[in-house]
Amino acid sequence: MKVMIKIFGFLLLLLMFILPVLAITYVVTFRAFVVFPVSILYYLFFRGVVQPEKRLVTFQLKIKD
Amino acid sequence: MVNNSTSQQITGYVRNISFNKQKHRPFLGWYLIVTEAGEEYLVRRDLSITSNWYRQVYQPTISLVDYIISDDEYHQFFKNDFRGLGFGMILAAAMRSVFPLNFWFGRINRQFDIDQGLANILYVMAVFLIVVQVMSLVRKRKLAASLKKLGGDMICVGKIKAKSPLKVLKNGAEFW
Repeated sequence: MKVMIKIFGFLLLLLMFILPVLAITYVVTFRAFVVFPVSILYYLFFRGVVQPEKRLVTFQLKIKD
Repeated sequence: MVNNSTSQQITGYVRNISFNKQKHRPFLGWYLIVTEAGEEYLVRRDLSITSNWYRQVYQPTISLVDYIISDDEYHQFFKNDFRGLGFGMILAAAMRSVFPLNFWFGRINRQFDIDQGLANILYVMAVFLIVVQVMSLVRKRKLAASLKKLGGDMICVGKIKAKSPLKVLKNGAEFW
């Protein structure tokens, strides 16, 4: 629950940051901004980097039959 | 609905992999679990932020231990340079001159119409989701091709979810 609240808070903060950027973007036609929101979102969320540390992690594996 | 799956717990080390160690290129979007028993699992994870739900897991038919990015090599692979950002700016400007503005954003909202604004935002989100989906698919195909090149394959095992955090930060926050 605590983790969920943290994630929600983080997303809310991020939204507060992204929405003004988008607002500026669709009102002002600053050329570099056109692809920027997609690039920023990709870099923040979807780089797919885990950066693990050397410690044992337990997983729940659901094997499909 | 009948649940056709069996559940088990595994314990192992989570590692990043690279199929191009000479050029220090990590393979993004997937990580490798090496269990204490020596079994290897490839987990599909495109998201960089902390999250914990069931993800697709595959088992490679060949060992990928040689392709693990070790702790010593780690900083060479994930150094923070801004070459990508510079490239993005140039690419953005180039694409702006090739594609019309409304290709990405719809009509320009100079009158600040809320409906038009919302439609524009949804449009960007839709483009973003498509980009992410395509990127995820490309990463999966690239992985399958790399394994095939090495004489291996990957078999879908099922789904996996962490039961302990992948990383604990210095301030005690957990990364899942």
